[in-house]
Amino acid sequence: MKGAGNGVKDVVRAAMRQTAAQVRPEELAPLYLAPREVRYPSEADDPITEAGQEPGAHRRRPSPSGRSDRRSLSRPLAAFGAAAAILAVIGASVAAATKLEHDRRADLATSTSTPAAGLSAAPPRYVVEIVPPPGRRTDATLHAVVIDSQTGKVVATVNPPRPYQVFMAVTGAADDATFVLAASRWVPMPGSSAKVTGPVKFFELRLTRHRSLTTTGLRPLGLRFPDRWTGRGLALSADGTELAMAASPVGQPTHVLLRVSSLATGSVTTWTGRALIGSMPWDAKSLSWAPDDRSLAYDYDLHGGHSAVDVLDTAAGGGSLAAHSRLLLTFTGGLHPVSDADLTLDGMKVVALVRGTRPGSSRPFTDVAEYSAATGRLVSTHRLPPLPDADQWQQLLWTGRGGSVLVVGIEYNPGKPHPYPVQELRGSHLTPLPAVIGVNGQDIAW
Amino acid sequence: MTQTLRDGGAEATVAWLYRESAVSFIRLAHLILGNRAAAEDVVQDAFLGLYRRWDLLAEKDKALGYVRVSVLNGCRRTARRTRAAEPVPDYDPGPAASAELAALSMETRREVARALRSLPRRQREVLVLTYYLELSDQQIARETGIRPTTVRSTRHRALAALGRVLKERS
Repeated sequence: MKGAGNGVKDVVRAAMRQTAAQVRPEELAPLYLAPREVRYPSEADDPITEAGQEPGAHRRRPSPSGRSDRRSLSRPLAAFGAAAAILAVIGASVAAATKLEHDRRADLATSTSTPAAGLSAAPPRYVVEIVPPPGRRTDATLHAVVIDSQTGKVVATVNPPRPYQVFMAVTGAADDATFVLAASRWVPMPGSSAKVTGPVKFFELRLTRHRSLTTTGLRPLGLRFPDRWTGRGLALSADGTELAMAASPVGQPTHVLLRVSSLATGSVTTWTGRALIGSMPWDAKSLSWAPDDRSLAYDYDLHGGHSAVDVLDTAAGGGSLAAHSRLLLTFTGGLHPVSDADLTLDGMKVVALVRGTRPGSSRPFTDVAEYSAATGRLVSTHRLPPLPDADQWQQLLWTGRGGSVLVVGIEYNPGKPHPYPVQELRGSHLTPLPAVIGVNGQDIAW
Repeated sequence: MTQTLRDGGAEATVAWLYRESAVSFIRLAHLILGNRAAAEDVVQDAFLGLYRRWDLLAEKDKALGYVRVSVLNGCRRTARRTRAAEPVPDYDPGPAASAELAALSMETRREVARALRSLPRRQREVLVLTYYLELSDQQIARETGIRPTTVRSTRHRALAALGRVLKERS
């Protein structure tokens, strides 16, 4: 033990950080606020509109040839960040989500997804994870590493292009080669010494395999992200041509803007509504595409602490998120989702990790729960083995065709034996991947 | 109408602030109280208080500052209650989260935690605000209601006392 002075300061600082690290974000208990009496504006009054778009107006999505009603990706979205919009959205209510649930139940009969042939039933080989550079333990800079899941080795490292300092989210297509990363940089928070992320830029990363794997570098995408908004979801379609993004104004997480951008044609379609999408800011797993590249599932919180999954028909034009979505399922029966719900690659099921408690027992269990995408009913569960530490949580990393393949894992301490490596669930058999893959970064895409 | 708009915004905003920042406040309260459950209660109370008083908050962008003051006040109330009723449990430093912290042995961390808990409440608070939140003396003075010079002298005394305690135990 060092004596008084700097030695004591260093020890105190380190001990405090260690103790504080015991409190983990995923253990945060919900805060229940008694609802107040509010006025619910109709969707037609929705003030979050793009420049030139009438409130509530629906725009047709362009044809594949891109001839009809195409919008330029370079069109500024500053209108979203305008003070008028920020003030206006305050008038909306989170309780409207409850109303939406009832409205959408009536529309439950139709199914959106079409099984697609040829989709992989095995997890992709290459994984992109956003992590701090070696030797750094802060998030002052976060780069991306490409990991070979068969060997566990880092095969490529990608740094955010200047002036960006951090990657914040990553999503991948089904080809095991196309990824999109969201990048930002730290800017001072007004009136505070703290720093927050500033403007956001999106980049495409492609992997090519000839004799060895190489990256083609980052291609900037002409997508704009409104200032002072927070990302709530990011998902690249299976064919890598459509990028879905959810965002909400800072301080108003239930006012969501969902946008689908065609990376091929540059068209943009936007929906607005009231839903708290994603469990965390920049949660790249809160959105998932069906293989038809048309149906987009998103999980969100209902007023009162319940969670639900909706499916948006992205080909039916933009406008109201509620009007173009149908309720797929709500988590009931004492099962609480502890991961984002994921639409399987064939669009037939929704998979989530759920926690519950047996009658007469206080020890929770965690199941992989599969729900029918057509009916929303729970069709199967698979009990996961208990974790070494009751405070730890599994994650759902990837779902394959039919929900028959899953990869789950937990965070671990680098340099120590992995207590629960990433595993693959096929049928009822859970087997570790050939190599130990760490899941400790800001985000990861398979 | 304005009132209605504010009401609609309060719930969403407070819920969002809680999601975004509650963990850091729980960590802060945990360090001051040395009791995880009590820390969570204090933080929940602080956010519920923010929600109840939202309409009275003149500068909404300073809501987190309000919460921090509420958390510190809540820690003081809790510390007074627990001192009279029951002992505050020891810190459990848990496994090392990084190589830097792994260099600090488990026993050393436990000693620091115990020594920290033996300090008077104000000294402990100043140390936590200085070395965990890394606030300036001016900021700590504002948060705790004491003068900056008192912050410096309190920290000096706290470090000296901590050094003595750790030396005795080693």
